[in-house]
Amino acid sequence: MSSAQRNGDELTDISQTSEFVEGRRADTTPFERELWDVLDEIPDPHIPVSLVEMAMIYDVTENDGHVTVEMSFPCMGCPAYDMIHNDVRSCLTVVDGVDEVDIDVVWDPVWSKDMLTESVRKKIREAGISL
Amino acid sequence: MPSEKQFKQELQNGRMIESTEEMTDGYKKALKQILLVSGDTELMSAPAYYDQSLNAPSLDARASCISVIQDELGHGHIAYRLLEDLGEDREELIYEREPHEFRNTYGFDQHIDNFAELVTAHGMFDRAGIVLLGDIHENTSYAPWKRALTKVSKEEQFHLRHGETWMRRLANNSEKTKQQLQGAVDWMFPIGVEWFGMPDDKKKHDDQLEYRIKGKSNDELRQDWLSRTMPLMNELDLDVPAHYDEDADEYVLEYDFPVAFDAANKEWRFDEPISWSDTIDRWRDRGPANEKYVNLIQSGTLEVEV
Repeated sequence: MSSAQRNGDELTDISQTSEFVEGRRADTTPFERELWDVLDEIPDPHIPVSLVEMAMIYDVTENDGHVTVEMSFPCMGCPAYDMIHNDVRSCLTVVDGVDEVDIDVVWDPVWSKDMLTESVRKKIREAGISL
Repeated sequence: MPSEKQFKQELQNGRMIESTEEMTDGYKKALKQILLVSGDTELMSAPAYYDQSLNAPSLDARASCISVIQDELGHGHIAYRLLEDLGEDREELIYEREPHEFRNTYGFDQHIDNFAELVTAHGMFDRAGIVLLGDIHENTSYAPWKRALTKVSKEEQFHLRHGETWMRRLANNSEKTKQQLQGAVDWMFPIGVEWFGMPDDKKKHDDQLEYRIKGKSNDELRQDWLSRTMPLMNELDLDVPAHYDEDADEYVLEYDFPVAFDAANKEWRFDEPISWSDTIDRWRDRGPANEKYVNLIQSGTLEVEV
């Protein structure tokens, strides 16, 4: 576990629940929702759920073809940092209406296991990974 | 307890085994054998990958390589933990065996000397692991192993992708890195071909298949590996001594399999066919890095006196 994850006490309440990502996802335009759906198809390279299910996607905003993905990683030394960047970029750039993709990696709120929904936890447990 | 023949038939019909009480001695012996090969192969890939992981060309690449090592140690742990259920002692298996007693595949007895060889190992040897364990995950009659492999399969996919990505980068970067990659493939490809063991027509019987501990024969697994490896070789314009034969509808090797290997220079002598018993002797004698790798694993416990 990275030191970032241990700083859970400083987080606001909302970031400690799975509602955080769901809330962000609901508050979007129809096109942005489409982009969320695309990201929800990208598998985490290590864990058998999507990047959205992993609660790594914090926000998606689109402005005149320019897309900004705000995201975080479960740990700062993520072994798939490059790979995930490539996936997000290449899956979004092929969408009609997307001209440019920016990825904004943020560490606030700090990613936490508490952001995972119950159904995602179940999938992860069934894959033999302890939470 | 049913007769051995009946027991094998029940397994072929889909019976799953949960505990040692349900096993015959024959089943237990065959299961232990394959688990030991699997555990030792996973474990020994860690020291084999270690040196060149520290030589990765970027911080991201290094983090990925180190993560691969961590995963492999975890996979080894799963196999040894399952062996413990079958009456083996994990500490003894890892720390108290002599180097030559390890049963890992021959590929992880070789020195990996540059980053091109490391990513080719990820791209070829980890793919061999995926083929073997993917079959077991899908077909095995031993339920605890099947459950444990869900996590392993996903992680091996990550290793493979990492390997392929870097093989592509090296192939397209410069003539020098392309040549390094070709140099790696030259000795590693035939090791991948050997990974799946003796051809089916040389084997009298195969307990692991009869007990449905695995589902596919050696030749089926080898074809599976070739059918996944060859498209990448063709895409990257790498020369390998194999091609797809349309009439036979399978991949065929362009040399008499098996052939002699000069381990010290990592060179195959394609014009020098040898027997399978010579090949098995070569495996049993272990390769040039065997002692170094086993010592690297075992030295940890001595230093901290666990």
